[in-house]
Amino acid sequence: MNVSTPHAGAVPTGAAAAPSALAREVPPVHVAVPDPLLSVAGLEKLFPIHRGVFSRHVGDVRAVDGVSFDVGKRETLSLVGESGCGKTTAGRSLLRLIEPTGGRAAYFGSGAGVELFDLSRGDLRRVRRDLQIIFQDPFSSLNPRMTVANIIGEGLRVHGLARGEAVDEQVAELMQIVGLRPEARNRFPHEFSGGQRQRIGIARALALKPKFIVCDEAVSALDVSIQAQVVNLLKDLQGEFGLSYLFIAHDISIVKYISDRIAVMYLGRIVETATTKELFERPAHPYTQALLSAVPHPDPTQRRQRILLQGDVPSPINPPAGCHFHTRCPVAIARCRTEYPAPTAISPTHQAACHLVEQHAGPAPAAG
Amino acid sequence: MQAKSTPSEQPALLELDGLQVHFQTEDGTSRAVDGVSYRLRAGETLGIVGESGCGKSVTALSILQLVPDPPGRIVGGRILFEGQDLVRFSEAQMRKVRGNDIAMIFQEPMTALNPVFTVGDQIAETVRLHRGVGKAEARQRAIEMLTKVGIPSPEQRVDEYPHQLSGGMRQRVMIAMAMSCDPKLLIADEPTTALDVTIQAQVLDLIRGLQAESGLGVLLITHDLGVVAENANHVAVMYAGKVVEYAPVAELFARPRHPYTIGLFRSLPDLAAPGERLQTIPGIVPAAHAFPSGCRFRTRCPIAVDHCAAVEPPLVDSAGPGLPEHTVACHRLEEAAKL
Repeated sequence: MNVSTPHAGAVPTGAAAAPSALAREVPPVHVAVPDPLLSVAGLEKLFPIHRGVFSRHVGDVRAVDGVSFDVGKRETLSLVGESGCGKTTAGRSLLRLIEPTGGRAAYFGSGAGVELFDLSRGDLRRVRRDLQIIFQDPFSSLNPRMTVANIIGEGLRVHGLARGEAVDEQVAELMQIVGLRPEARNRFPHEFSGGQRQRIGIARALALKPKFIVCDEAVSALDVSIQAQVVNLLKDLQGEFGLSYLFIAHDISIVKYISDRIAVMYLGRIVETATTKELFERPAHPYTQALLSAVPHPDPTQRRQRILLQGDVPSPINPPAGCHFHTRCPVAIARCRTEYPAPTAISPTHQAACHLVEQHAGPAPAAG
Repeated sequence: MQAKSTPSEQPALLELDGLQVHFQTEDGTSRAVDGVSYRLRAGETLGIVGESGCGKSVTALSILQLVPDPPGRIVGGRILFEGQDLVRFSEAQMRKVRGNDIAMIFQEPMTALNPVFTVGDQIAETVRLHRGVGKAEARQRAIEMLTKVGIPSPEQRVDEYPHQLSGGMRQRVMIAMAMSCDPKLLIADEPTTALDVTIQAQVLDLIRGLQAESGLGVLLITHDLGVVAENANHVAVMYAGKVVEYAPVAELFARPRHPYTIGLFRSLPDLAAPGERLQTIPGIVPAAHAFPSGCRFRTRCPIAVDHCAAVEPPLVDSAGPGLPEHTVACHRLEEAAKL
């Protein structure tokens, strides 16, 4: 169960429970970081589809289809992509809130690594203290019948970390940390605004002193001025408690601001990963280029060239053969229709899965 | 809003003049829209920006008199569409306007489309109602409109149901329906908020194309300042049921003058330098039944003084002579300029 090395560049061969129907002949995009907190290799989550009277298994929704990434200590890695690309499922199956169907995830929270997907329920519960999540919707992710104090303190009680007055003290402290008045402890979620509710969700996640938090569209439902308050709070907490974030979002401008590194997902796979600076300066994958160019900029004096993609994202039930993006790609060639591209390293921290990377990314940096 | 009448100025397609829409709630009267004035010329796009609860959507709904009464009611002001006051229109008259001269598209195309009718039937319904044409002709028009909004194989799609289409396709169907009777004004309430950015770019491009073709006036309601920057000619910024600033888009983004607008721009991550903290507007938007006295932004404003609580600032043109209109509602413009 214990592993001593991260899954750097590992190809998920034996690990996956069922071999991929699309027989993955190429390794996934995976940039390893030195001394990671979390190293994920070949993460896979298939949802089976059953049809007919006998509930015959007729296929799978390949929601997450072999995703690999490392998260460094005190680092923010963002997963970006459009609806249905699998970013939320990736975050949830990583924490086993839904059980992954394949892949490995090594967690190096306390010296020796722990394989998260091999843990028993009981062992997982202990490790979960370190691994928390903040959800998108501050309205549905808080129990409306529980007071704020109970919501925030529940984890402390469940894990037996505090009892009685000690819980109250810690709840009060947590509320102060996230900018809520401790006097409001006995109120119910509906008495708070959206931004305040998101702060309650953050306090709940912080209660167990985690090392890693999945922020699943944590600021997407908030208004701009409130969003800025919560983003600042997340940054402050990272500095204060040395947190690592997996920041799942579709809002490119927030991602650019908050991330150290970014992984771009399309139809269940990571198509490009790079440091934030690299990704915005030299996006290599045609999908990343289109995605970044589609983001409207709050500057009316700038009229940028936009890459308009044709059509919609194909279904993850029957992803296109070859490169998944070829049906919408403005530069696809014949090879893209038959062969899934292997990752090309543009720099030690920048990889993209595209046959045409050399032609499209320009010269490699000197340091490469 | 004071009109600067220059001889060359076109008459407004739509002019709101002191519109007030109030709701009777258990907590008292909610002044959701409280004296909103703005103007939109044919062929132009007016962006309405503001955060949740500022009244931007209620304003739009009341133009078509779609605010449920009770609890909502237009209690004051005028809505001039081509010079005629829609507030005085009877329900029968309004029915001739809706979907005909003025069309609207909504944020969530799945809930705005009827799930038990084919998209063709829904487009044809509008055409038959307003144009009095036969079934076959209406269907032809539906196919023509689907083609126009860029839906592939429209002859086939016309017989499909909304659930068979993707989100982007549904929004295209909504636009096809809205445009089917050649409206003069299109009200687009967060038309791309539910869509992914690459699809958003397609849809906005489509609206711009249709506008260039037909001289349509577009009222674009959004919380996304990026969308406004790239699509609007003029912008009205709303806060707590009022317009606090109005200017041509380039002017507003270059020289925001109201402390709220300034705060809004500063909290955008796009404009922050890497590593720099985002600036925030402290506090939250006040509830509509308990707006502060005087200036409604004063409780969150960094430069508010006693006068702001006592007297409500009027919306006045602060642009110099000969410059395009730039109206702001603030007592403390000089101090705001130093923010």
